[in-house]
Amino acid sequence: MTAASKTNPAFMTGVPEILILRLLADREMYGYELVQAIELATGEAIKLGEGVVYPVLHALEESGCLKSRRKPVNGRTRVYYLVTAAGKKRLASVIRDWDRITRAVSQVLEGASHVATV
Amino acid sequence: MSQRFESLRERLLRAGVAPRHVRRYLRELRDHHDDLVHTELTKNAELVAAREAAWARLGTEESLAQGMLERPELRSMAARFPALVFGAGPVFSWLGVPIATAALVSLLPEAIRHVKVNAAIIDAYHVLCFVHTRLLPVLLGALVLELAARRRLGARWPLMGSAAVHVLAGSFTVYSFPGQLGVSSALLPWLLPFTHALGPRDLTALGEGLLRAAVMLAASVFIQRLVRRFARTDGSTLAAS
Repeated sequence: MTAASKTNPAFMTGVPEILILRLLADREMYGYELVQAIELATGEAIKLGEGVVYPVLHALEESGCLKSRRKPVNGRTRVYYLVTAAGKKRLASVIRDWDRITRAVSQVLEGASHVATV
Repeated sequence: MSQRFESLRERLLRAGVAPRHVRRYLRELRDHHDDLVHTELTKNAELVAAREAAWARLGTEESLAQGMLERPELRSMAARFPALVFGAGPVFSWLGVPIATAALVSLLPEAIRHVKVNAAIIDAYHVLCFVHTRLLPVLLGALVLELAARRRLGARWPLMGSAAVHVLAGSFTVYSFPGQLGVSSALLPWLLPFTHALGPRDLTALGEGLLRAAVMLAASVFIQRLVRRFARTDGSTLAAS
């Protein structure tokens, strides 16, 4: 995966946050594991510059949505992240917002295609 | 590889990102890079090619820096409020020590608080006052300057905060007479001229206090430079190993 093949950044505002919260709600993961999980879960439709997950993780932890702990794995200490109760509330809220916006955008796009075919 | 991370570290610290976030971010990026290299090697890539592929997947230095810089919540308190942390902070910390000590003493049982003053108590009082008015300001000043240096912040506020503590502390002198212990300040009569309770305005004593403050400030700067030099040497040794 090269930088050129990454997903259009104009569409990506807020997307890493939703994906991270949703995937970490199932189980705790460290950064590399999380990036693999995002690619797997999205069928590689979403490709991030892999380093960008960490600022999102730090910011979510700072706001109390995630908590981290160090855990030794194969002789290396990894920083694992897990969603907190506040993070679950935040996830529910962003999912509602996401649904509302995607429905609205879909309506506009359907309307536009209808106009175009008339 | 370490040079790219070093450059990223400097950039983030200079932009005011909290050192704890910078440390963890770089550690996580290093681990992530190692994992990517390992993955590429398992696909039979050459080591050099594996490293370059890992960098391409991790992101450019610009994108890695921007990810952190776009989040103001990751900036340190010191970067957001340098005047409060490094200007007022040392003064309030220094003033807080005798206030906290007095509060603790007031919690002691009555019988212990009203012991008869003897030579040992007077000596202990002089030692404590020396520590608070001469030693603590120097160490506090060095600490403030070092904390600012580690955050790559300018020296203006830390120097002003340290200087304020040194001027306050340097103008204090300790005295003890039979049956009486106390401190006097050559500065307070000039700051509060409407009362004579603080003693006369003595220009010579004030000059001595300011000179003492200048020497103490120089000592703080010297200690901080020494600490910085040791920290750099230690860092180079670690990097080399």
